[in-house]
Amino acid sequence: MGTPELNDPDASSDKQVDEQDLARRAASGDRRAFAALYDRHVDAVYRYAYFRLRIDAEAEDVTSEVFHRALLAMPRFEPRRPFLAFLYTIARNVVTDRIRRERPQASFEDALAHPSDVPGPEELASASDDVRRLRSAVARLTTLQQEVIVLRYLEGRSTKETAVVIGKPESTIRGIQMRALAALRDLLGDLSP
Amino acid sequence: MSTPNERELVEFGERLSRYRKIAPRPEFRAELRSSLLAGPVSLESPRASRLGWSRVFAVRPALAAIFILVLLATAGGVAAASSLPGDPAYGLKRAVEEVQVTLTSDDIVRLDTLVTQSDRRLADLETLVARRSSAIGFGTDEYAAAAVRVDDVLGRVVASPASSQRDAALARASAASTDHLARLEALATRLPEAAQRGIQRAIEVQQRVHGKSNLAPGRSGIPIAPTPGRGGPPSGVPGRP
Repeated sequence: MGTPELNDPDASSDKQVDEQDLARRAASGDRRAFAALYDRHVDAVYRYAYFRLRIDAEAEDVTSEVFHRALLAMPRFEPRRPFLAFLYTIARNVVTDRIRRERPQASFEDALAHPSDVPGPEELASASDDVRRLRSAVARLTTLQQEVIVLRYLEGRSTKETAVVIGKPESTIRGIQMRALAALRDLLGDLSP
Repeated sequence: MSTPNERELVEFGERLSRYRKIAPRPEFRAELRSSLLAGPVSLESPRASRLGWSRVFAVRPALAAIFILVLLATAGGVAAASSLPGDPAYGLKRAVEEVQVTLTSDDIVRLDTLVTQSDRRLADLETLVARRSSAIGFGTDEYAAAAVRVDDVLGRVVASPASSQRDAALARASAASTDHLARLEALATRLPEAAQRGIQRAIEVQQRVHGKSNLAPGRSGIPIAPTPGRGGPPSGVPGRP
């Protein structure tokens, strides 16, 4: 994770060619090739959903939906496009739909007021305190800030890669990133090194 | 040049990287992988039209049937029909087969259709092995997925009330599984090491199909009629329509 292969044609060219070949085969119906792409990217997609949502089971649901949608859309996939950008685009849509459908206008404070939205004992036990604090803080950022923080710092994508996924210029991403970091630091305080 | 405040923020951001180790549960990861490998194939076409053909398929089976006929009458359709796993046109062939399954009226007809399709997958696999193709692994997975789908529908047919149609369909499934088991055992001796796991899995599924199709309550003495298309040459053999 955190490698710059998403959109840099000069980086890890062997891996990229290999990925393009896998994507081409997957687009022609080769599910073994699709499974290889899944193995490469499932962690990244899960992490994206995990930090954009607050409940572990929801992150799993989103991850599952993303890959099933991707499988359906493979015949239309353009193999020269970075596959992870394709997955992130689907993940953004799935997460957005889910938030809109389940919590139409909820703020984080609203969520705390609704027991059904609060992580259950299993989730609480499985996530360490600081991870839960971070997820809660990320949830209080604007949608764009959340996406930039998750992609840039929790996924380790470059500004350029993040710009491709979000569809905004790199300069805009940098601006959002600094505002998001400032807001997050206000919420979390300085994280101990 | 960044200001001291910006530097502090960037350092703060870098400290967030410690959370990159979050990963899904291994059980979830494995289950999702299996469902992606075994699930039915897509109906989306390479170029989705504004009409949304998949939606048309969902509500207008007759239109879907006409679409199949038109498709099969074209050069692309012919190429798809003779394609093998790993070929570019294979996805189209599977999409057409998927529509055929969608158009079946009940589980008994569906079982016959799926048995026929599993016959084709086995014939495809035999062709791939004969050609020493690099897509043998994919072909094995495709056959295994077809056998799993037969097994799924078979369970429902076995549980359905006894009737002559049901018993005839079960007899055909049983005969097909006997034939498949023999061919799979023969194939297993010729497959490369990498495909052994897949073929053993396929054999296990077929054994389950065989056991299930023979254990249906009330079933006995039904003559075995050949399944349409069973035992013929693979769909990828030159000269086959």
